Amino acid sequence: MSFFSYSTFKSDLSLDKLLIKNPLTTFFWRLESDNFRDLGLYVKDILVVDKSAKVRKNDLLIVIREGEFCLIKAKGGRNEDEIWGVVVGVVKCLR
Amino acid sequence: MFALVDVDNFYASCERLFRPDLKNQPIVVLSSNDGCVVARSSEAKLLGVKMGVPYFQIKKIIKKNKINVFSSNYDLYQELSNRLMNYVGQSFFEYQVYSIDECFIKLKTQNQALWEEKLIDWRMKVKQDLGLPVSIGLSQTKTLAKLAAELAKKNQNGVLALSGDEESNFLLFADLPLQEIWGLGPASVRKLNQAKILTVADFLGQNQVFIKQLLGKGGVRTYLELKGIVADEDIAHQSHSLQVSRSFGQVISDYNVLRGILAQFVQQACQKLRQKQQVTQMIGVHLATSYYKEPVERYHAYWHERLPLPSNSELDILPLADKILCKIYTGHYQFQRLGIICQQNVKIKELQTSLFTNDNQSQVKLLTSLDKINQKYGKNMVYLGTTADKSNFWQPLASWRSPNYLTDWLKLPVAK
Repeated sequence: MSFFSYSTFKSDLSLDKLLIKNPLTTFFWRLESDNFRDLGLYVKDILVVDKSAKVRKNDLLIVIREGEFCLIKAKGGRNEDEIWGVVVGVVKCLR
Repeated sequence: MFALVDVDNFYASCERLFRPDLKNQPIVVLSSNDGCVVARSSEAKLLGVKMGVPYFQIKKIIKKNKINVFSSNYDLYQELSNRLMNYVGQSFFEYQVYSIDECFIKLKTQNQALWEEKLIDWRMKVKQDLGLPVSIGLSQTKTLAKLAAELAKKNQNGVLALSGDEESNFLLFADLPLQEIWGLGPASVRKLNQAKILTVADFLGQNQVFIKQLLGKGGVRTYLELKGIVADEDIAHQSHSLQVSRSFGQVISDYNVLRGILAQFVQQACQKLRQKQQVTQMIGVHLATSYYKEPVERYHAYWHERLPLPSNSELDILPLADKILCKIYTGHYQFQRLGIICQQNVKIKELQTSLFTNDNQSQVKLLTSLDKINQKYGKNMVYLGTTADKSNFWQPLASWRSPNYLTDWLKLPVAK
């Protein structure tokens, strides 16, 4: 006998609330690069990108260079690139 | 004071969000079934591509100028539109969605110069936070604000304020043709032209009584608004959108009570649509607490979705409105305002010719009959079965549809 049906049960702990501070400006991307394994980011990871987040040093950024998206690490000081958004979270589905 | 926020070349701008390579490139977006042009980027406009022209007619221009073609991707446009409208709601107290890419804002204080400055900054924030370029018009009335937004597209900073002062406005738009004015449809323009009234200057030079005789109450509304006199609080009379909304006498928190009220609104909206011999294509629902509350107690939400088939029947519209209410409703708030908006309304006659602009007559007849049967007996009473070898013959063409970046986990944009 089960008292909760899947569709109506909602935990107080919401992954949405944890990862997404501003739903209107947050977009999901898929990582296809091998260059960030040292940060624990692997191909097929889902990146949570916030276009409204302020850039901090060492942030992972999606920028636009010569009409293409690039994933880079933010340097200290001023960033010359056009910033599309800041990676504020990562989701790894293991199954 | 009113502001109108209007996305520049909306569908084209949506397609650019995940295509930085298309920043200054010509883009056209095609209607359902890749029939005709429903959107163009500025570059495509300059190349001479006209709105509504059938695709096959511009194949040569497309090839010659390497114009990027997209099949309309309503999932993408809808999602971005919803985000924008909610973003407007987050930034301003009183807002009113007008269409998929336009939204009115009611501003309390009358300090126009201050608002102009704020809106210039806000517009840049929208470009960064949502990736959408918008133009903003600011003025005493909605009609002037809408006109200002159109004129703002030529402004470097994308914002234009029209003062309520008739004389200075005069210089800006005296020579504009009447078609440019919101509220003057083709029939009104024809009547005015017959009376030798050709420009906005001519129109405003007329006597109000004469305008009433010639165009009726609607014409007077537009006339007064252009002169800076507010005559149009609720945009109930526009041809392609229709709203039913109320501020409640007392606050309501209960979901079922709200559902009941929404059902009544749907009925009213459907009756109006049938009266106007129109069908609607998109349903939006707006739910909000009073604006005058502590931030913690304030809540507003708006969501719109496209109907699977254009309709004016409660049987089609109520389930969708219900679904949207369920999506935006949340407990713990004392709601003061609920509204439904039907957008992209078209006359039933026009619908059948505009949807099917290719040559396949038998396809047209089949789908028209389906519509009629479903309307009479209820949704999905008759639907197309699929057979092994003819499964997709009836699907509308969409040869160049961009991926559903925002609505499909398998189609996320990729970071390399």
